Amino acid sequence: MNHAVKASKFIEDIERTKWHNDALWFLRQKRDRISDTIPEWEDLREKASLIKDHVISNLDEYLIEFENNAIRNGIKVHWAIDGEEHNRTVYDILKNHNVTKVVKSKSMLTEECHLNPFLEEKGIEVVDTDLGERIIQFRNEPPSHIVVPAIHLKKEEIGELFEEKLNTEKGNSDPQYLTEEARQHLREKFLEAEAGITGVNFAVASEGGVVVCTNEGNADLGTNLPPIHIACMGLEKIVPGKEELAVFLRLLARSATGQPITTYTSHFFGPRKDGEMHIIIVDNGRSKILGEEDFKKSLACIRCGACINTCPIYRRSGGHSYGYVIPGPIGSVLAPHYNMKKHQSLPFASTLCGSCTNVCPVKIDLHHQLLKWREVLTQQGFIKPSKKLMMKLMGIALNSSTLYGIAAFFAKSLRWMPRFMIYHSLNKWGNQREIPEPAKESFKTAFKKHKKSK
Amino acid sequence: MSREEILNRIKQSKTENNLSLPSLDIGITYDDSIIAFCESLKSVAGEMLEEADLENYIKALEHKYGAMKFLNTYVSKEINNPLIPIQMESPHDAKRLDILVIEGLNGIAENGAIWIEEPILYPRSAIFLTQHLIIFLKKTTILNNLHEFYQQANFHEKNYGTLISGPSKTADVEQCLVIGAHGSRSLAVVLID
Repeated sequence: MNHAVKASKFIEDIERTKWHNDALWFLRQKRDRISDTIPEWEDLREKASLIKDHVISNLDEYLIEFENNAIRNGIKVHWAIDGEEHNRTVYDILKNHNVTKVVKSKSMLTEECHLNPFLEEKGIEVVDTDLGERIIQFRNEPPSHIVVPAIHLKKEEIGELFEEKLNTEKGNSDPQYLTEEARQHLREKFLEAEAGITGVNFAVASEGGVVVCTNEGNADLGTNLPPIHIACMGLEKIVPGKEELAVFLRLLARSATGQPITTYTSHFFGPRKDGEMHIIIVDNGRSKILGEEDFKKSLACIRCGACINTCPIYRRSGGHSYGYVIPGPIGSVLAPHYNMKKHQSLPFASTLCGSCTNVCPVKIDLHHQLLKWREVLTQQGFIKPSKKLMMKLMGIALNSSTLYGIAAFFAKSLRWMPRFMIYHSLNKWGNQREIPEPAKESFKTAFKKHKKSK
Repeated sequence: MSREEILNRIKQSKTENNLSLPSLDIGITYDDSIIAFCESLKSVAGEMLEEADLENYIKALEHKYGAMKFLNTYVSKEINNPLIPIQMESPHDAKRLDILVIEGLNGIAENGAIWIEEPILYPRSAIFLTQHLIIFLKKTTILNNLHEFYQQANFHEKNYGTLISGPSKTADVEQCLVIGAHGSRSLAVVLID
């Protein structure tokens, strides 16, 4: 189902749409407020962008450096060409240790690879430990946002869910209370877990270790209690050294939630005493994107969600409308690489306003990439004939002064045309909005008059 | 093998260029980094504490959260407190911990974060399982920003370290900030000379 169809379902509930829009805009405002306190903010974005460009063009060398250093630190390094190999690798590690209970902190990569259903099918219990992720896991839903996965839900819905799953008080939807109940519930899960899985925010090549950021402390409890830690990373997570790491850590939380840094920024540079640490480096299509000049910059993404929070389309259509693990502008740029047919509507889920590009901490040219995808999709024949024809006609009219003049003359007729002739099923724009009244005279005429009177 | 296959694909895909790494001579500095640190700490829901007030602070915590029993210290000096230490031989032993007092190695003014690394205590889990965390921090260790921190950091032979900025928190229920998610419910910092 395409984005517009799903989005129209989402906006049926006007009040909820407004609430969703406001919640996301609140995050965007927090990002603005805190970035204003850093005088070198724009400089920082520029440096981050340059570092990523450098890494992207030397990725193989950095991955080898990272691997060598990680092995020297006593970490076991695995490589997976796709999601399936990634899942199998995780399972093999767990099976070798007879693990049946796993706790997992937030990782978009494992969502991308559908790790949970794979492990559950093999009889392994996987508990998502980020509060938002636990909520959507209880609901058997994908995340609707990469940083705040349950942003689409109201507290009353979460209250009812916890009542059913955690036996909480009926009708109590106080966030403080619900969080406390989840804390108690998940502490038990942490204590009985036999292995912990985490994502990776940054993999530091010169140190051979990974950095994981959370606010809740769930990644640390999940890795510091059970003896086995498996860290899953996309191969683009590399940063050269600790000095470069500083740049990204200064940008990440400020861009994501308007915090100066996440509560916990944990550096896993080796296994703990009596423990084992594994890192799985996953390709799953990334090396292909690397070869596409127009799109390779998307590999610089640090998954802060700033482009999602600011996007007027995301805010008014919700994450589930996108039908891909990562929603919003960055998701719409990534998804068609994996399945152009399935995700063909996503590059059109944008007004091309450029706000995403403006807030991106690593300066990905998001709205240019969205436009580029439209071009690719059109060339590959994914555009409806009616739209194609319309664009062609418009192209002809806009290219000729005479034709444009004639069209503009007829446009004035909109002033006296009866409503039924303007607002009908062919005019999608008129669905929920009034068409602005056309001016009494065209710009051209007004300009001529003005010139004469001078 | 997937390793070779992935590296080959990258080699074929990447465009050769000589983009070098940018210089990183940036970073906000403060007239008084200690004051800036205290302000940042407050903004992330952390508290400042005088060493002499420790007992009163524990009483206040008990008043708010209920009676406490176990407190472990990992600081170089004697600390007077009414609670008793527990044996921590495995990571799970830390689950009964009410208060943990540890020493931070660096404070960072721009974000209120404190660097803690593994050799300071065993097990690591104690930092996250304890209900409340108190960190002793030497004033002289406070740096302006993360650039300064990572320039001087040496991770050689260190398996684990974390930057902690305030108590654990979440806003996953309707964007409503709740302090005390999975980690410590409070965090207080004692600045020492």
